[in-house]
Amino acid sequence: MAEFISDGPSVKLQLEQEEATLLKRLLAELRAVIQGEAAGDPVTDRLFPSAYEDRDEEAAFQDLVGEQLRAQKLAAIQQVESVLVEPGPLEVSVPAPEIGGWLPVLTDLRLAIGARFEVNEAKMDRPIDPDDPDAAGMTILHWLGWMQESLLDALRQAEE
Amino acid sequence: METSTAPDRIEEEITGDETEADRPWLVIVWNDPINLMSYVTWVLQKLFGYSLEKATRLMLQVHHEGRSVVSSGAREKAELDCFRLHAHGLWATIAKSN
Repeated sequence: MAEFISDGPSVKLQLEQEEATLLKRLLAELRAVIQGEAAGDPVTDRLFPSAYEDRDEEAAFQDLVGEQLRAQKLAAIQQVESVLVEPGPLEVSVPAPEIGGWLPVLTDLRLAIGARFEVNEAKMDRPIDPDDPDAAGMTILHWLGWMQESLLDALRQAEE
Repeated sequence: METSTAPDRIEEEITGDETEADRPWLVIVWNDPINLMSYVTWVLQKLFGYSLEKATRLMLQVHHEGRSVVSSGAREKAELDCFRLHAHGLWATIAKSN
């Protein structure tokens, strides 16, 4: 099971081979969504939320930072992928500030799944029903959440 | 992790006799079912230099009340803060205070 372990000024990541494969596939899908950026798609809408209620103000804001936000998200994905080049199982140490860049990426992966499966708080809290057609997606969502908690714990320890 | 400390701007009193131009822009974070409470706290600490206590308080306000003003100020600052929150996957919007 994926785990981040505080290791001095670094964080050690342990990842099973299947986990590394799955993570790489999810990252490729996320990249495709960000590059495709289909307006009105719930995943795109959640990854790129509106800042302003007013349509003109929102358009001006998007002109200002929209492209930069997309570029930043893509660069963050690439940074995670650069650690996943080996087929796995993985055990790599990454400097704490650098591995911190994984958190927004894990978040975007979770937001994309949450938007795709229309996950609300009730669904989030319910145990996964194996007969639910969304069971696989929910399992991945919780797995990514576990990774995120593990990384946050490791980063907090690295700061102490 | 950034260690700079940002002033407690949101705790400034906003009086009723200010002109339109004086009223600050607010950056609001909204509750969403996906983001982890621990992550939202981490983001508020990292982006705004808030203490763990303050970041936790704002995160809990988002969780329980559905939204929280996490920063405020000139329009340019509000837009930069909102951009950084979006880059971290938080659901943030900008509004003029009233």
